[in-house]
Amino acid sequence: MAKPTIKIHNVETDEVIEREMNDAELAIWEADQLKAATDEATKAAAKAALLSKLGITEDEAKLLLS
Amino acid sequence: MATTTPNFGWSVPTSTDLVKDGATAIETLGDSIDASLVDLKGGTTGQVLSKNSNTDMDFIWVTDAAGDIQGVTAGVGISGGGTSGTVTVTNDMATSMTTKGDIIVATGSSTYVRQAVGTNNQVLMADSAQADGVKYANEATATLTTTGDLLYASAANTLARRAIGTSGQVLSVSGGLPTWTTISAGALTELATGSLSGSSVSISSISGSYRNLWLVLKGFTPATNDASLNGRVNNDSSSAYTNRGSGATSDYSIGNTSWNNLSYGAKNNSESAGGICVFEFLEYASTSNNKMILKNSFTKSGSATGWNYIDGFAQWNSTSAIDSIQLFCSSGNFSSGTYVLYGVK
Repeated sequence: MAKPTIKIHNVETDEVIEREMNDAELAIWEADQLKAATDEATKAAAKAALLSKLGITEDEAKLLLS
Repeated sequence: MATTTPNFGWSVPTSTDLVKDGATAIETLGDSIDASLVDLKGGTTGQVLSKNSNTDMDFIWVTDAAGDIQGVTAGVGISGGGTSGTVTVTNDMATSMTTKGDIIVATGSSTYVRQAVGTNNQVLMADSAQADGVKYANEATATLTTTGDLLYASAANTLARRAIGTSGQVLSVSGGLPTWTTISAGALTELATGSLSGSSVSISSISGSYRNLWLVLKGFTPATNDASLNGRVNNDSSSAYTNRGSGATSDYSIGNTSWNNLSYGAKNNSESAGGICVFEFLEYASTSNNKMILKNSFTKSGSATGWNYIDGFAQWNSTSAIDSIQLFCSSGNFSSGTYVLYGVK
């Protein structure tokens, strides 16, 4: 399976290299992806809990905020 | 009593020997001579007599070695020669060179000429217009006279020197030639432009000669719906970022590993033209202040029907000068979009 790619644009030389991520870059990228997914899940759970506490639906909440 | 000859040791009879028993004496002498010359006997046509050992009169007939030099004839570049005795040959190529550094080059098949050494910092290069096909010409370093000088082509195959500019100047093009230009305060200089693709984009080796950096992303579109655009500087993935935003991201948070959650992008679809994001890195080259990043973005939401307008700021809690910027999506890859990085004086 191909690894994610990284594009590196050297401003000094204007050279652009696009290659597969090395192990270190891949580890950071995967950690970022995991953290974002976790944060999103946490946020969604908090939102659902709040809606439940207020006793309104998500559409009703949007209406209130519109 | 017979005596012996000093060189060969032959037994030579004395007068008394001859009188007393002449026949025996002469026989003895003959045997002595015969014995000493026995090695001379034999051999075949063309053979030569060769010493067989260091012992006197010890010879052997041997075949004349094939390949023995019969004569020396001077060829191209050589004079002298002969067919007997001591032969002297002279290398004309060597004698043609008169000065330290001289070399010999061909002017054609089996012809040559002396190429006098050039002057300091010249190099030998091919030139078909020359009789010998080469010439000495100034090497690049001879053109450079001052620290910081640049080489450029003033015409095809012609090296020229561009003297170093003054502090703060940038290299620009005027009349098709590179020249140093003084940038007025507030002027923008485009440093890099390209497309957002792959999983991560890193803009590296950013010059520190500007006051601020301005990064403009057009048509930012992630491949994953509602993925947000994240960024880092100097590949710092530690918890060194503080984020503050408004609109969809009205949070304030510290200890983030990126300047994140600043803009959401809809997955590529016909409705979305992506968004535009503008980031300004204030006094990015400072080595005494933490770095402020102003964020403004207007992006199409993937799950909501509207567009998100987000403004805010981030701080990179480091006094190091920023020399690279990394961009990536919170989920998945970039689908499309472009980036342009400007230096602001």
